[in-house]
Amino acid sequence: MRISLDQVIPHPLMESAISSSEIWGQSLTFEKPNFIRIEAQSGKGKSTLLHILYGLRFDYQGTYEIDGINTSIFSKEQWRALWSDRLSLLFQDLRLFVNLSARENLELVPSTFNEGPTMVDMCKELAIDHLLDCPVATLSFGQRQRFALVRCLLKPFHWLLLDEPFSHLDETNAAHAAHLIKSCAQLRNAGVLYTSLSTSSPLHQDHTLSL
Amino acid sequence: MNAKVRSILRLCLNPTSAGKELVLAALGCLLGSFLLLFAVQFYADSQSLVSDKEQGSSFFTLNKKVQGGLLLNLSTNNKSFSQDEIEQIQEIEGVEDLGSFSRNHFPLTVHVWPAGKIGLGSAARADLFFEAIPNRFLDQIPDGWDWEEDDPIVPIIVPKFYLDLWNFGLAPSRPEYPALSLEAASSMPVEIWIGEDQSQKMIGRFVAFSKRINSVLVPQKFLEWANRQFAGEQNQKYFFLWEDNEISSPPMSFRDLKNLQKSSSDALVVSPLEEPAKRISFQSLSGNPAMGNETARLIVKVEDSHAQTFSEKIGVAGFETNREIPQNGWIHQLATLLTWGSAGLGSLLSILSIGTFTSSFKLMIAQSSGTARDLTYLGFSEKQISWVFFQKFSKLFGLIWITSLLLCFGIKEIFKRQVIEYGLEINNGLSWGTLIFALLYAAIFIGINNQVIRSSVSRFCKITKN
Repeated sequence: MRISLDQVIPHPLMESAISSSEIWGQSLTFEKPNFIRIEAQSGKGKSTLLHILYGLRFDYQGTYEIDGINTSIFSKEQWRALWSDRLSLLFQDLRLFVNLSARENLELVPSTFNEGPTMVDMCKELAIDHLLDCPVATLSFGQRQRFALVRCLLKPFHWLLLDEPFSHLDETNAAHAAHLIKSCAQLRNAGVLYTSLSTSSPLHQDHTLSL
Repeated sequence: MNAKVRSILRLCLNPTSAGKELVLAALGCLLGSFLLLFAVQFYADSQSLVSDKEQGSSFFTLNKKVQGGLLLNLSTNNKSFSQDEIEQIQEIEGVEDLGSFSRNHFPLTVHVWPAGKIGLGSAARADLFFEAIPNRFLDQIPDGWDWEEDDPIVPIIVPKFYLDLWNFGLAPSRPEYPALSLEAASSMPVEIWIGEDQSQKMIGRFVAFSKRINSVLVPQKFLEWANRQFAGEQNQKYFFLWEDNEISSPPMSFRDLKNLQKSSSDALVVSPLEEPAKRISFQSLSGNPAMGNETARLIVKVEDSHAQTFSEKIGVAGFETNREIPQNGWIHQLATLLTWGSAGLGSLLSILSIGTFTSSFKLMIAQSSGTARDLTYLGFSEKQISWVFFQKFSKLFGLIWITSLLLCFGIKEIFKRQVIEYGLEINNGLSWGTLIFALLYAAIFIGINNQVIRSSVSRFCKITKN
């Protein structure tokens, strides 16, 4: 699955933010199984980029193609199929269902990738397995962030899009999360595109781009 | 999607609000559904009471006036309708159908056992008559009305006012006779004794109490059979016997004359009571099969719009009329009023409840729109999300639908008991029409709400493109 951006510029973004960007207004192609880190300060459009790639925003100019097909002609059924089987996104605000337990949140995916580690294995690796039956509403943001990451990794995907995946994790947990992300992506031969505020990251990267 | 995921999906999308709106919608829907089903059921029941062909018709019974003294009236011949008279009546404008009453030609006594034959119950005895008319003139054909030669029970329809006379006239004055409900009267033993010496006994049962036909009716087939069996001779006809060119005795019955003929070597000469001068040989009468088959009463079906003129013409012709209680009229009017009233109110409530239901579910979906959108981002389809709301609706509507049917059935049973009081009978259970309508109604209601749910989910989960 190849992702191409050609002269993509989001409408709300300031001109000053675009001029220095290595992504906005450029022609880029992301090939899997590359690990790409997007580095930027706040307000530069990190979430906007991931939302555009995931098909949640269309308020931009330029062309966004998947496998050479312009995504502007995709129907909602085509997007839904991509969300179900080929793209997985970790939202910055996580979007867990707070009226459910953590386990129910993890089980609530339309399709799962069954060849990798199980849900419990992943939770153990991230040291949250003892919280599985707790209501999400009672968990800290860091714990929720790890559960949200596990939910992303349970799905099948060709590209994993992560919006500041380590923002609320300590170094140890961030390292465990990075290891899990890498192993899951490698199992699927998938690409990973993640954003980060800082210049360093516990997760391996093949390319780093600045927004 | 496996059952576990479905179950979590339901939990995830389970809104706690919109409850009040939904309860109101459910109550409105229940009332509307019930009224609509009731209207259809009531229409079906009233149609079974009043067949289409009888709507807008009146029924008259006709007979000739009885005048004069005892001697004159011992003969019945001049009280019968001739073929010409029948044809004349048939030609009156508005006459739709005409049938004749046939009657028994044998003595008949009936014993009824109002308190049963066991214990201290005593019988009420009465000389009675039976009549029969073609089934098409009956206001209802009760169960068990058909009679075959081997049937041990003779079905009898008596006027409802006979029962009223019993309950409010005879029974209060005779402690040994209890008042009778319709059910009790229907199960009361009835003995039919036939012949002057009451040599033949049959068992009868009151199968219906008619408010329309003022006569004691038995099936035509039974009456024809009984007349063949027990009235081969015209015993009730009276004649003057002539001897030496003058009337030699008071009027004698056909049977007495026949016995006399057997013991006499001379040929008897007689004359009919109404024509004393017309002398004929008794032997010529004996072989006349038409004797005794006169039509003394007619039942005529007349279009309502011509009923008044028919009545006037019949009066001018010198016949007596008795317009039967126009039962069909009030049943038809009541049925029309109730059917359209229920259908109108039911339709209004149903439309309102569809509106309330759809509003409630739109509200419910709107409240869950954020969750629904996030679920689609996970890869759930709109169909899978709609299904959760549709299931919730279906369970509620299913409950309402079944309750409406049960209510309709219950009211129908109460109605059935009520109409029995009027001597009418309607079929058991809900009609096919009601059940088919109920299915169609459910299909329409479910179809509309399914569409509304799907379009609401689709709108809230819409991908916004510039």
